[in-house]
Amino acid sequence: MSKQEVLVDVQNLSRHFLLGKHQIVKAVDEVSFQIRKNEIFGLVGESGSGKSTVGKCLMNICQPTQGTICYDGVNLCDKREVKAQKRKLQQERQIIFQDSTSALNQRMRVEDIVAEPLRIQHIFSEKSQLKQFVKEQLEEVGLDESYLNRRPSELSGGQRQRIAIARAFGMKPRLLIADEPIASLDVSIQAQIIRLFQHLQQEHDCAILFIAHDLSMVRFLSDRVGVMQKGRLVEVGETEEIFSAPKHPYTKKLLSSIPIPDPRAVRKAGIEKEVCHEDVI
Amino acid sequence: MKKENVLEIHNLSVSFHRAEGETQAVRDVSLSLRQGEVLALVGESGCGKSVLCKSLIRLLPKGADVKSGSIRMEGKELSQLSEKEMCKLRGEGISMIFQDPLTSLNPTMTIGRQIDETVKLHHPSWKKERRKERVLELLKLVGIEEAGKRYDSYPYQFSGGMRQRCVMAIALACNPKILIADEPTTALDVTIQAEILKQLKEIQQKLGTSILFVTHDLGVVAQIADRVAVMYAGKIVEYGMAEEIFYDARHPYTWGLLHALPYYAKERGGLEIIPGFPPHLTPPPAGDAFAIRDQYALRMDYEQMPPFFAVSETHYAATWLLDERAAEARKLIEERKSRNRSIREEGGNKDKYEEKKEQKEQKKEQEDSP
Ligand SMILES: Nc1ncnc2c1ncn2[C@@H]1O[C@H](COP(=O)(O)OP(=O)(O)OP(=O)(O)O)[C@@H](O)[C@H]1O
Ligand SMILES: Nc1ncnc2c1ncn2[C@@H]1O[C@H](COP(=O)(O)OP(=O)(O)OP(=O)(O)O)[C@@H](O)[C@H]1O
Ligand SMILES: [Mg+2]
Ligand SMILES: [Mg+2]
Repeated sequence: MSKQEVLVDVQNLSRHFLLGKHQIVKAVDEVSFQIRKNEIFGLVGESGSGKSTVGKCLMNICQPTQGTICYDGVNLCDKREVKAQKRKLQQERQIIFQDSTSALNQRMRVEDIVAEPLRIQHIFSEKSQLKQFVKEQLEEVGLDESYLNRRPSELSGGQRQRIAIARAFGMKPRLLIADEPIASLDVSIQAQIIRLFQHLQQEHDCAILFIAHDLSMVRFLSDRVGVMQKGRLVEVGETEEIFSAPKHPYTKKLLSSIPIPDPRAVRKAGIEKEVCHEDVI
Repeated sequence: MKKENVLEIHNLSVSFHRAEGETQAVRDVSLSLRQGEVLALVGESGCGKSVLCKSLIRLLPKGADVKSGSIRMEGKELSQLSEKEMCKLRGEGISMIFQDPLTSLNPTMTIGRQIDETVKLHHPSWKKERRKERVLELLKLVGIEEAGKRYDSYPYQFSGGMRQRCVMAIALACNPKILIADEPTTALDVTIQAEILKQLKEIQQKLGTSILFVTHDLGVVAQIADRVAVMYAGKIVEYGMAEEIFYDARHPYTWGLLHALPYYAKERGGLEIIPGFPPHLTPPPAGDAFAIRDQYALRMDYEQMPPFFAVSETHYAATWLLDERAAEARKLIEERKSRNRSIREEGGNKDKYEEKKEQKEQKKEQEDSP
């Protein structure tokens, strides 16, 4: 097997938080993994297991307590290097936050929210070009130009989420951290957004850290998957290997809890009864 | 035995007025919530679910205009209540979990105190220790580990899913008679989600709570709902018992929803989606708003809004396909239904994944060969 080039190399990453004076939370605990160029890496796991914290570390939003992160030759834990490469890093990395609603500037209009990163990077020299591009980006996520003038508070939850997606996609990043990007969307729009992710990966050579709890989607979309529990990465591997032969007990439990969209089957299985994961997926 | 309605909505319409025109977010919705049931409300992004929920507790955003309709809770007309009475009702009878957990938490107050405030409102005579016990019990109920350690944490110190569960703890603190839960499990992994759904079911059975559960996840609906209402472009287009909706849906939009499930993606080699995007509500299209995306649309659908047709005593759908004059089109329904059934009997959607795997292997082989 040829070894694909590595884009992000995470080694022994830890991030601890202080709770009060004496207690620490090991949000991320000695995690090592790699994201290859142009690959979709799915990150799943328990609520509170450290997924978002890992994502934020890769974006330099959160400083690791320990460990190293290397992005395309840049050591992200070295402040000087990060500063020297600021422009490249800003241009190439994008994040869709889990609480995207509160991450959007409530006072800005939709048009400016989507245009902002493009403006900062001077991607378009002409205003009209920029506006046209923003319109196209919105259309891709199913919102027409009548939304340009709205503010986030005038949108539904899923519409706000799609604005956050359009903003990140517009930059055509090389690394996209997508933290639960489709959790607030219904199946039909999810499917269309998933196509956009695939497009970004295939046409623009983007690597994506896809943090999600919808396991069917992760299986469908990701090349490789990592499973987190209590700050630790308990399993990493090719998607199919993980889904067809999970090794860690937590992974097994996770796979057996996928809700079945079929009331009769649910009743038959009983909510509590552990269902063999092979049957569920 | 027919259960009593605890909440009745009649012909409710809510709009927003903006420079571009009027956005009709909720259009002529009539719906009732029965004592002790879980009613799931499903529908596409932007179809009006959250606006409907907020109007039930009179917490609509500024600029919202309730054009018509009545909302009755246990016989009381909500629009007649004073703000003070409404506040009391919100503390005691009816509780809401908002879709966006962060905005409903106070960032400057510890989670423990925020839950404590609601408990205090509900049990004014309780001493501090007693209340703290209750807060910890609630945190445990929603699966926050080491609740004692977390009592004094601020919202930003929690993960997304933990915050969502804290909001749920606050909503449950007052043992509400009616719980309106707007996408309460979107940020949760499947194991915790299953746990929470189980807890909600238990609470519902123990206390007789009636729950209006907004979600887009039909897997969740199948787990928890007694009845289901399907909303499209501001209108309810179909409602019935959960089984009737899952196995005998009549509205083309409901079919589309069931078919878009990744779970049933077999035989399609990918995700099947409803073509097009949700329509504009400024103003919504005439007739059946779904018609332009509906492969079975009749001419009538573009012109006139379909009324509700009864499928059974509990099951209603608003589509002209159920009209006597649409016998021809109903044949299509039968075809579609038998297809649905065969998909379900065969179950699973492994093929799609296998296909993808094969593709990947081919890709790898190509890369490996010089
Ligand atoms: N600023 C902070 N201060 C203290 N603790 C924090 C902080 N940020 C996160 N944590 C803790 O770190 C742990 C991991 O949080 P993180 O947000 O990474 O989880 P997650 O895997 O994204 O969970 P979810 O699926 O619920 O979003 C949690 O226990 C959380 O409470
Ligand atoms: N304050 C507002 N001003 C103007 N329009 C609004 C406002 N709030 C909501 N809307 C519009 O009303 C419609 C219904 O919004 P609502 O939030 O109820 O959708 P929803 O069904 O909850 O969707 P989602 O699943 O995405 O949360 C949307 O088209 C939205 O753009
Ligand atoms: Mg998170
Ligand atoms: Mg909503």
